[in-house]
Amino acid sequence: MNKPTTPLFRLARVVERMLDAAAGSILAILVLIVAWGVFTRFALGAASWWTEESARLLLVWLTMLGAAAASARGENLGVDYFASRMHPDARRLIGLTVEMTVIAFAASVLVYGGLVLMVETLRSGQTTAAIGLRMGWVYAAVPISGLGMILFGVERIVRLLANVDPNDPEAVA
Amino acid sequence: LLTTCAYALIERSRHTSGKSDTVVLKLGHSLDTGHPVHLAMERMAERLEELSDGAVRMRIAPNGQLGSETECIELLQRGALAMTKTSTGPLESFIPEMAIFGVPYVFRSEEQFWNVLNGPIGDELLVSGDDSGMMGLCWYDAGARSFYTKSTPILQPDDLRGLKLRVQNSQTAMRMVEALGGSPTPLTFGELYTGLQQGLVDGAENNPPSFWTSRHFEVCKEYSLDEHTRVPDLLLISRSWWERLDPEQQAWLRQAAKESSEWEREAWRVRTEESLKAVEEAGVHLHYPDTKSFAERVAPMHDSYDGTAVGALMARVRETE
Amino acid sequence: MDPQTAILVVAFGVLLVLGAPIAVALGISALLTLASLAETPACYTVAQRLSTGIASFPLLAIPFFVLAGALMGEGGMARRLVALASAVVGPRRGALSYVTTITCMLFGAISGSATAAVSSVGGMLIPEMVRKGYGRPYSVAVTTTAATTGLVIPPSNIMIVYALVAGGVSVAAIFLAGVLPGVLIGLAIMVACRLTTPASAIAAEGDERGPSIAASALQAAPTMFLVMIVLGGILGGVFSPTEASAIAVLYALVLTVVFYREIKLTDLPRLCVRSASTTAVIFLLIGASQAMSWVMTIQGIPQSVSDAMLGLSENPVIILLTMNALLLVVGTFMDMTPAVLIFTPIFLPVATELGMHPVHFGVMIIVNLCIGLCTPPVGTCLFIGCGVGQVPISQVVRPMLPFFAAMLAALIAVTFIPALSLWLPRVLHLID
Ligand code: NA
Ligand code: NA
Repeated sequence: MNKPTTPLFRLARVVERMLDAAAGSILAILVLIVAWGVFTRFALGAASWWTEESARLLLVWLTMLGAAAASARGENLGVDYFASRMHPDARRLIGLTVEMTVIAFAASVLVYGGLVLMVETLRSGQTTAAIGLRMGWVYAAVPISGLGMILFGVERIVRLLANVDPNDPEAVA
Repeated sequence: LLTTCAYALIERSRHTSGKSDTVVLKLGHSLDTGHPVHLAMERMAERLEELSDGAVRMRIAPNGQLGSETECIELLQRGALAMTKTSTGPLESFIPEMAIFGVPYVFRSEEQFWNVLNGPIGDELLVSGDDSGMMGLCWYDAGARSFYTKSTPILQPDDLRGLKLRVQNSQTAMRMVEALGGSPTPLTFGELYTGLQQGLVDGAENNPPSFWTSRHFEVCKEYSLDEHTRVPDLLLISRSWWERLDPEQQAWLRQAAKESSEWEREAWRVRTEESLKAVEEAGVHLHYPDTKSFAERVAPMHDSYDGTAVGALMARVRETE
Repeated sequence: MDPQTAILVVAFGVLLVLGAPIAVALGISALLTLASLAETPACYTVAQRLSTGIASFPLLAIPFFVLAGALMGEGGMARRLVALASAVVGPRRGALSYVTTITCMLFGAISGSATAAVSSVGGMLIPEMVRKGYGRPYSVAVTTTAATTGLVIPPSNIMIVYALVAGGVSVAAIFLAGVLPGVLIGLAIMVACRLTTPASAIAAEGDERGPSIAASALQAAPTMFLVMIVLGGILGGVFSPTEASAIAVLYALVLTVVFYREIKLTDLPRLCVRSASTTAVIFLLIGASQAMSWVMTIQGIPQSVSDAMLGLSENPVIILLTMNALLLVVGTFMDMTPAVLIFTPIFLPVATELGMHPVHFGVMIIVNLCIGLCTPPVGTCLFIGCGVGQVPISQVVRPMLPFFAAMLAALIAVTFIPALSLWLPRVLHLID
């Protein structure tokens, strides 16, 4: 049995950990931002003008980075009922098809579509209503997420070809 | 799966190559189907079909089915959506000059306001989105916005002191309430009814038809018609869709838009009268404060725009009769 | 069916059956449909709908309730609820099955998800029930079904998702609408418990006396106070649901880290990462279904389905029963969040056409899909319950049947008695 290439595996784990750490930190920051909004309204008597919008926009980053990390672990919800009753060989073939579809989605929608979204929005100079941030920077999370998903998709294909469970990160060592 | 992909591409080429005889313009907006502006756009669709003998049609998706106003503008810029109706508020993020409509007491009267919109300034603003892929077709009346409060009538600016007033989440709106002396509280529209009821905010501001349809009059019994801002609605078309039409089709579209705009102004006037009558019957006290002291109060805010594009526009508005 | 709609349905169906992530299946089929139209920039449009659809302040409550639920489960708050429920039930025949159900309802009233209840309440009570002779499969069946009450009793993440896709539905209103139906499901499950208590369990119980009601209530008071903060705060208009959920996180943090000392500060990064990951999975799905529903609207699909369903029969009872039957089938194969996201835009217009209030419809669709959470082949609650209870799914199906019957009875009541859902929000003037 040929083992998956080690540099790819290492890179994938480093990227996964970075994405997880970023998403987890954003969640912690979000708690503080919203709590600050409540505090200013009650204790200071004046509502904060930046909390709601910045929290909404950070949610895009949380989702995009977190979803890429989740795809490394095969956590994105799917219906595996039918595939799981197939012969192991057929299951592997289906697994490869699914991973290639994920890569196609990440490449077309997230990386290409996301880049167009980001670049065009930056070029148009659109700003957000309350904090006046360039909206394009919010969308920058989309292509980053797509690149992550492609990396993990390739890694999972390599694992599938090597007959290793793609959902078990320890299975390689 | 591959077959489906291939089929999608065949369909695509069929669509691109086969010059279709009819153009369908898809329009998304956030209003409900009873709103005068929606009704006006429906009339426009009928008129357009009539003028073009069915060659140019509009299909309208109301209630924000195709996204919020800001999201629809973005889609329109890239040609994903042909048309949208938006308030000038969200347009500020794309065209900074549009902020002029959020500044209080820029216009002396309703008459002057319409002279500006129908004159050279209005025409310039309609094409000001040219570089960013969109074009205005016509203005729709959305009336004047005034304060409504649970218990305190606003007869002079000092009455606003200490009141928490809900505003849309925009810098201009926050500065407007601050300039008048109130304390602005950004809140999403969906949370406003409960927010008013439970005292999260003391009041809000809107035009009479919205005050009526949102049922906020059930909680707010004082409506002070200080008419601080006039924020019009605007019908936009995507630049790329516009260029796909031939000059004759463009002329039909302009004519249908112009007629719907005229129809809407009258419908809006009637709706405003009905709404004011209805809220009064529901026990709301209407107040008509003298707006002069309010206008004086916001002079520093006006001055703060000196040297900006909005400031230059304000100077030209002042010179319009 | 026009060619575009065929592409949409076929691509989505094939990818779903292959087991692709549902978000990817939604995104790809939306993309192919738009690509075949050739008049819209397909990749850009899907990316835009996918990313702006999630930038919503009300949705922000979901990660916070997920994080708060993780803190409550690991931090000993669930254990104190068990003690309170035991004291209230007292020594009687089948006591522990009632304790399990009541604890799940209490836990549901402080957390937004059902999975947190299955894992934390089940983790404590399933071994206890097994020790007292209920048998593993029966214990898992009680816990799994009772845990779904947490999705109907507020706060509830799925209700926030519903309020978003239904458009113009107030989160506070639908939260309040869930109170009576949630309690009703709990009562129905307890009735089923009473009728089916295994003979082996009767003799083994009723000999132990725990602490008094007062003592355990005092112990559980700080935990129950969270209900006051969250629900009282939202319904009293002090906070928005999002703000209340952030306050719930801070409150659970202080309680479990400072007072109970059952969670260490070093545990927090792990809990944040796990909650962020759970959230991201849900939100990618929300974004992708926003893209899909945009394409469906452009294609006029909800309108066609609505016309077809309304043409089915003159009788609204038949249409509602058909809709429920379809949703039950959907629920067996699909998780709750994607089912709500995909079927709300299609079925809600039919329901409103029949004169149903969107808040009432939301409670109905959620109660319906709660049943699906406990049915094989795809049932999140069932999976976690069987995992915690260490029992194969096939063994749980038989003891589950009476509890399905109880939930179905509750579903029928919720569907045909609008007042169950609408009375409370009307009393508080949250809806007309
Ligand atoms: Na709950
Ligand atoms: Na199921």
